[in-house]
Amino acid sequence: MKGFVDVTAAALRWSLIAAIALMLACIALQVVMRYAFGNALSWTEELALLMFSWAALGGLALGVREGFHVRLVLLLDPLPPRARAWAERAVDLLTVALGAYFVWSGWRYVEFTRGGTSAAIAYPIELLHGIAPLAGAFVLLFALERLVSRTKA
Amino acid sequence: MITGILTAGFGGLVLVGVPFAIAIAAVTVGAMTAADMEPAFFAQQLIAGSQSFSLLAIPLFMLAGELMSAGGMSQRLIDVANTLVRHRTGGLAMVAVVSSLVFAAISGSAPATTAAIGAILIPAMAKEGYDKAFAASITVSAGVLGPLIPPSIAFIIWGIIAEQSIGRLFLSGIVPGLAIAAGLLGVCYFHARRHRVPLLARASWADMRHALARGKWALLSPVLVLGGIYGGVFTPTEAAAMSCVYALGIGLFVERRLAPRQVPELLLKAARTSAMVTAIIAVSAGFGVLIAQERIAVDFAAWLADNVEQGWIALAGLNLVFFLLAAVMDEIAIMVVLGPLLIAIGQRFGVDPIHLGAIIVTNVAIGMAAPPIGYCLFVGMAISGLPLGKIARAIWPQILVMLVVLFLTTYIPQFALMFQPVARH
Repeated sequence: MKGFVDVTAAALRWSLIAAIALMLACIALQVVMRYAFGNALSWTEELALLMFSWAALGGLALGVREGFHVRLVLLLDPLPPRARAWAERAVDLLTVALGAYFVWSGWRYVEFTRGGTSAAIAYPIELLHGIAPLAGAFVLLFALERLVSRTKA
Repeated sequence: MITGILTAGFGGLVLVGVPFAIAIAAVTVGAMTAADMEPAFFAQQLIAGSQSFSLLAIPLFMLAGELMSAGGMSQRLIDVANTLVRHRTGGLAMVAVVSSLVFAAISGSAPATTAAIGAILIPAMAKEGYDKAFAASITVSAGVLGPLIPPSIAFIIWGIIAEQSIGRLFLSGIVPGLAIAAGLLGVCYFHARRHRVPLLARASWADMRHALARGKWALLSPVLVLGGIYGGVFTPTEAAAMSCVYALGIGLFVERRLAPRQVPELLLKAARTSAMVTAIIAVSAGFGVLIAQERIAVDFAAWLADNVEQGWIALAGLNLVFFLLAAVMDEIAIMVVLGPLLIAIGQRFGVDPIHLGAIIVTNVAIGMAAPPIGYCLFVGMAISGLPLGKIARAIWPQILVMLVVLFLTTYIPQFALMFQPVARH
């Protein structure tokens, strides 16, 4: 399982690098086209926003994997190691449950809005709304891995 | 029941160590379930919460900061400041304040400012006879200029929450930022005089010219960002992108201190630091809708108005609550969770929305440096290798300076509104 999760996390990291790079390229192109060619592009903002939604929600999932989300450990630090481990397990378990809800909720949302298209580019709206269940699946996977590896250790 | 989940539930989860982003999402789901709402609402709000063009500026400003530091621009800014003020009493500490001030006009982030300046100046100050804890504490406190001097990620977030002009909000931070910088310069002077820190030799004209020549690209960067926004050339988000393009161009082709193979790593760094912030904002959209439905904020503000007659007492209470909460909570999370309440209080007591924004962001900035938790503080601990206690003991004079500025910003509206554009007819 660990090998699979590592590969998934690496793929997620590269997708975030690509999303930020593409976001930057879109906005820069938008400015250059407007001033250098007097041509306001209609699709750059929409594509940049699509990339941003992925960066925000994919980044949320990466934070679960890498543990970089900000939290308060003031009350956890003084706990004895065993109690602390249980508290961490409880946090992981809550995150697993949230990830599962995230997938379910996202899937329903995609179902309800199926067949729609975006305003400017007219890309299938499933691309945007599908980010929710996909990011949810990453959250679920990474939180499960944390829970399992903690139980083993 | 629903109100209880959203307030007490959130507090409980945060206290047992659940990350803020996860806690906000969890209580939103909990309250939705209690209210028997359609589950798809959660996903819909997550997507809606991230579809904001203004928010896009956050990863781009983070990236610009990374590119400038990796390309050596923060070093050049420090070199310029160094030749200008190093010979004064407390000169090298003043270099940290002045270069943070300029870096703040490029970067919108407090921890990025502390990281860029502190990595170079904390060791340098320790070498020149400063107490290391003081060296760390001065770069930590100068980091708060990042969100106050435009551009500013904190003002962007507040602008989205409060639906106010981000350009106007940026301007309201200038006087509080400059006032804090001036106060910090005073702290540097008195510290160096009291501890008899050795003076440094005055830089020669040739040195000064040399530093300016090498630092010109870095110094032009704030001109591009702020001139672009206030010249009406581009939006804050576009300014962030152009600042990245500029830093990339200078780093890769003009000064060549940046190698193409470094770029993916910097993009990933920017993705991580911005995800810490944007994750909280994305999950708070649904949370905000529920708070509004339950009328928690409006009812509380109305209750407050019935029981507290004077606006100045309400504002003092707001500042006190923010300061205390910032000791245990992430400042961005405070803004998004308490945002509706703060806005309702502002409206009830007739506070100008731009003025309110300046008060909130000054609070946010202070919270980033004030012990026991704060992003700048963590960066300063990581760079200096010092424990929290040592920096906390050294930083109190600086926090006091900031609280004085907060007091002035709260009760003298002109402090925040001085640079506002005059309404045209």
